[in-house]
Amino acid sequence: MATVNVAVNERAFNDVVMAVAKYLESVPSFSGSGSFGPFSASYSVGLKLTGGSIDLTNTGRVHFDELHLTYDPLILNLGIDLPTIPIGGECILPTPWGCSVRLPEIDLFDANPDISIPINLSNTIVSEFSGEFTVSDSKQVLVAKGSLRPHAAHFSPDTSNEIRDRFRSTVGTIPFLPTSAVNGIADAFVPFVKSNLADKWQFFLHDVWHNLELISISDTAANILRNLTDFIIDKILAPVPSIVRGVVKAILNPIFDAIAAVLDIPDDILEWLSSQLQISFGLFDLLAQLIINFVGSMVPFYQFEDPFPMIEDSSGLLPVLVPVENVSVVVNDDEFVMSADIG
Amino acid sequence: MAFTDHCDIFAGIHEKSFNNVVLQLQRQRPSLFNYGTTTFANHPELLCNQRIIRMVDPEVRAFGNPIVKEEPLLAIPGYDGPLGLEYCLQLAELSIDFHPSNVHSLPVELAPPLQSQHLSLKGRACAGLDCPTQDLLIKLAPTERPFYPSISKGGFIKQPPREQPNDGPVVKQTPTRPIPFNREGIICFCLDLFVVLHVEREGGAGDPVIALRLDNLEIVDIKPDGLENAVECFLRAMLIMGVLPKVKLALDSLILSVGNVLTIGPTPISPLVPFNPAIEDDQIKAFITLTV
Repeated sequence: MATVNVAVNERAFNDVVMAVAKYLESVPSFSGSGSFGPFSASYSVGLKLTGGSIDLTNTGRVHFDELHLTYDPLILNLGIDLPTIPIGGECILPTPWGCSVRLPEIDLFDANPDISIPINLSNTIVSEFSGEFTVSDSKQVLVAKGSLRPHAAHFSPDTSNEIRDRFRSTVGTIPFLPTSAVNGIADAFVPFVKSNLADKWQFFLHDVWHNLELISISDTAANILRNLTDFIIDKILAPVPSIVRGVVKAILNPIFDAIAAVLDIPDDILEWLSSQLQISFGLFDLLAQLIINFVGSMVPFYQFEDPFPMIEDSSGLLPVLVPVENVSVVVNDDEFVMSADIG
Repeated sequence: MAFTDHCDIFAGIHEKSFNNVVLQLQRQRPSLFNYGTTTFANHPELLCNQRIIRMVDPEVRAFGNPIVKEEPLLAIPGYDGPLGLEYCLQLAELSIDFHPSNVHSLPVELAPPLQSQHLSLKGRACAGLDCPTQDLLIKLAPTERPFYPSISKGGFIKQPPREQPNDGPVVKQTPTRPIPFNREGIICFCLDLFVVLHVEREGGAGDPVIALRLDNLEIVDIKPDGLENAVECFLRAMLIMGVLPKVKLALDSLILSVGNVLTIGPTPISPLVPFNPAIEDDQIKAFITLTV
């Protein structure tokens, strides 16, 4: 057994999701406006995490299960500012000393904007994200390190082209890419990884599959039905006490949830297929998966030195480097476990 | 059984990790463990415990880091001159053993084996004094004016007018020069110290505190027994009154609030988590709970 174990269970991951949901509720909506000649537009957008969970699976994957992002508020205001047209003001009783009686004068279209079209989609549009990810780790040992001892490697900047060349050969596998583009893409990632000559434990993210629906048809449709029904109930049953209207809405709510679930069946089937085939469907998701995995295979999302500088010192003493061996990340049905042997 | 059956986040550190880190500290920061006067600082090969000197990482020397932290010379009580004795002090073989006991062989005075939820610490302190030869000491001793007592008629001894002892400090001058080093005169001894401790929760329900409690300590093989008991009593007083009160940890300070929406804190004590932190299976285990 490893000498250091840190485990985080599924409940903790979901607590973090709930915390994000609570945090988003407290974040004020962001708004803005702009005008383009006579046309103007303003918006107010807020986000709420209204559903979803994270499952840890025995296949070693972290499964993001239908995280729902509801836009509330989502108010768009379109406006047109017409040129002001003054009407009236003509003199109807002229006298030698000037006009004694004039028609009343009014300005047409003097408001700004004159025509306003509010589009309120609050609590209607829902985005949905599902996906499965794995984390792997490996140790990077640079050839350039040679026989340098740990402290010397810690203090020696990596001036070799080892990482650059490795990235270039990886990017070079993309067909039809000109050499200049291969070099440019590969070189852009080098600064994220290159530092000194010390060995490093690196952690890589792998996107097994994901499905991002910017507008989730099922949930958005259910929300439209729900909002419409609420509106009708509030209008038709206006004389009825609000508590009774609330009961009626509560009775109808499971029906809308059922409609959403039925409408979501094709999506669920696609997600199941994605999970089985380990590939995202849809051009955008497939491209995103390829890019994430391509970059993710080169650039670790986290890395640390081995031996790890546990105590740094500014007074000229050597840092205390502690070897870290057998680093592993394991996901099972219960928890996410990181373990290592220290020393 | 999962690590997090009764908590959200679990962290367990095996005694091997602690002991390996101490070992790396000894190898890479030897000046934290080896103390001595000029000659010992310049010649670590003269230190008493050569085992920890041999362990020193070659890069410490390559980077010019000190192996021995230089200490002032040892003043000689009653002597009022610039000379002082050379000595060295080393802390070696520091280690920790979490229940069940399998790293340390506890002395019988500590009633082995280690009790549940207890830990033991072992340290070996080695000290050396460079003892000058008697001839050298005689040669270096100050030549003060002889004492000429005069006897009065009444038979009383009259004190001559020379410097009188007073209530001032025994050592008046900090030594600045070592007595010439005598390589054959280094006298070394090592003492093994064992300490048994446990973690205890104290304070009220609203202000819980984790404290380290000393159960017992033992210095092995000092004779006579009275000296051993006196030294142990002194160390016990130092630990209980001087050291352990400073390693109390307020549990409230361990509770982190992330953006006022997520609280991360120690899992409360319950029948399922009877100890937090727990000292068991050769590890120290911490159980953490998240609350939204």
